[in-house]
Amino acid sequence: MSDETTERAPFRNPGWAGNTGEFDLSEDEVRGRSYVGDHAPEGGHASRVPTVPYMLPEKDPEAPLFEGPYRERFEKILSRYPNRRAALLPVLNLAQELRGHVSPETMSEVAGILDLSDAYVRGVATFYTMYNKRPVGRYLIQVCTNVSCNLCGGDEVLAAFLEHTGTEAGEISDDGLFTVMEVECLAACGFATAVQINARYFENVTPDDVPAILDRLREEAS
Amino acid sequence: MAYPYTHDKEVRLLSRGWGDPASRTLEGWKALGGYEGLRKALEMSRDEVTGVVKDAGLRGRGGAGFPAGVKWSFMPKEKKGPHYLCCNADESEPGTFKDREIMRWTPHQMIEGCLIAAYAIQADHVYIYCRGEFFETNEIVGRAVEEAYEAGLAGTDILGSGVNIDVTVHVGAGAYICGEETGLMNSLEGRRGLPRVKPPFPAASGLFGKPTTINNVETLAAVPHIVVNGAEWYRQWGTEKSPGTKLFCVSGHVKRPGNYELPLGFPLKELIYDVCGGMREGRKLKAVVPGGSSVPFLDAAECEDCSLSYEGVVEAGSMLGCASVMVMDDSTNIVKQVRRTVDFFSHESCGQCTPCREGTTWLARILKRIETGRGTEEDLQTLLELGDQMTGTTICVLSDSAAAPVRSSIEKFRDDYLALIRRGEKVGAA
Ligand SMILES: Cc1cc2nc3c(=O)[nH]c(=O)nc-3n(C[C@H](O)[C@H](O)[C@H](O)COP(=O)(O)O)c2cc1C
Ligand code: SF4
Ligand code: FES
Repeated sequence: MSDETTERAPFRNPGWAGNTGEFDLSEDEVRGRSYVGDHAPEGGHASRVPTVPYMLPEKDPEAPLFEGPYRERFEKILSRYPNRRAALLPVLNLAQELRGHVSPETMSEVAGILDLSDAYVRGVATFYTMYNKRPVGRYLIQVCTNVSCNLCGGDEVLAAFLEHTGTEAGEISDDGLFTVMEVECLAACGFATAVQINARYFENVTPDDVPAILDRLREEAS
Repeated sequence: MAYPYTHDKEVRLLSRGWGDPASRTLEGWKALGGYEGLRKALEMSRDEVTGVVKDAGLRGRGGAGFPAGVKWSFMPKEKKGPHYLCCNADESEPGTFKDREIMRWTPHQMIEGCLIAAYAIQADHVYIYCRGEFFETNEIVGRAVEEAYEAGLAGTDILGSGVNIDVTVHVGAGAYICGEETGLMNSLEGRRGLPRVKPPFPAASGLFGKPTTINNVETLAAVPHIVVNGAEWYRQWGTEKSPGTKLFCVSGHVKRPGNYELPLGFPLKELIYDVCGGMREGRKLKAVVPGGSSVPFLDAAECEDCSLSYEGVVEAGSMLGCASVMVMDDSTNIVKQVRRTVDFFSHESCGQCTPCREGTTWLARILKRIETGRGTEEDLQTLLELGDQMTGTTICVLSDSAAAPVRSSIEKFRDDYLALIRRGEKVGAA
């Protein structure tokens, strides 16, 4: 994996500001892929189970909650808190990782699993913006338009993503690949414009970079 | 090193190791002297550890600048049940991008700080509340915590001391308000991230109703260095009231934006014109927001003698906040940026307090009207009055934060507002 990404390094936005300065790291090194390694299906040590990304390309809206290794991860999550309620966010994350979004039915199921009421879980789930209430494309592209990025052209980057995917904000593109949205500050303001695509950050993005980023995603998906 | 920009005026204490993938690992962190602080702390009494952090004068880096050692000393000495430590890794103040760098380049630095703080306050469990969007970073932190467990640095009988501290990485789901300390605790308990009315303060009744301390990532990351080297050593940098080094997050219209670690009290002008290479070609400085979206604007004249310490920025007319320096040149449409800031607060208001919920919405609406040339001069008065009603009247300070940039921009850049209003009048007349 690292070889392939290293070769891509001339690509302008390897997830870090490096290529605006003296950049001599591979994308893999910036993103820490080899350090993190592949997640064991059951999530590794219980302390880190909640860190498995919950915005992934592969989604199965019908996936069961929770079986096999996911059951193990669920149990490990429960073991880290003094009560079941506290596991709600990590468990919703787990559900979104499997299903891609958190539908009202998913909320009810999670409520049942954690002995909470449907209304309570719905109240919590709708409070947080990262739970996709509706299905999204294979790649959820979130462009920061907050002040620091805005000063450096965030609005134009957003416009370019919308144009090149042929979508309106929040829709899924016809090929099912892309949903583009605005997002609040991603905490990468010095490396504007910051864009989050599923679990990955792309930094220093300019409108000119957008076609290459989309091509790369199309290639990954095929 | 490979980190994008560095400068020889920097004092690279916390940022040492950034840009070097080796410093992520336990081995790499140890090679930089890592976990010596924890070893030393475990040989000291809990009060001694709190004492050295207090003497060093380390102030909270999450925005409020409250002295960390003093905060720790509020925790009950006699333990009646579990104590908790929350590490606030929810970095979401617009303009701020330092905690993520600590977490992804030197996660063990933060974890070591957490363990030392947990020891000092007798915490049984550390929850690192990570921002949901930081997937890549959170995986790195998760792996580092696992490494710490494998090496006997976390869990039971840490380094043979008999001390037990668990560490769990908890991942949020997108809500700025969960960075507020009691909002964070509610969120960790599986609730909506609604800030709580204080008192009771967290040291009396915090997470799960138990005594809790909460600190920012950068605050905790400084702790190992202080424990190893002592309070006097730390005070060689900074000012009497603001000791030590600070990560300055510079964004916007400078030639070399990025993170720079500098002694507190560093001159703002030197940061912009020397360290960051100056303004973009052919452009002049117009405004600086020195501490993230929540603080008042400084105009160019106020930047002249501004020293970047907690007290220095107050003297200049704003606040240091998280030292998130957003630099704007003369091409900037201030009204648009203020409107964008208020949109953010309006979106992130948790809705509990009427002045905040309604106030942010109204501010945003009026600002949009002015921005699009449909405003009047009376609107400026309305904005100021709304701002007054939103200040000091709510459960948390998000409401005050939304009002501050509006007030300061009207005071300092009134002409920008008037230009838009008058242009609108002309458009209307034509
Ligand atoms: C609306 C709001 C948002 C906040 N967001 C953050 C944040 O993202 N990260 C952070 O460390 N502190 C944040 N704070 C400050 C925390 O409430 C708290 O003061 C801080 O975590 C304490 O740590 P410290 O003493 O080490 O600075 C926020 C405060 C408010 C009012
Ligand atoms: S001030 Fe705003 S964000 Fe803070 S508690 Fe009140 S409504 Fe919520
Ligand atoms: S403003 Fe875009 S990442 Fe902070």
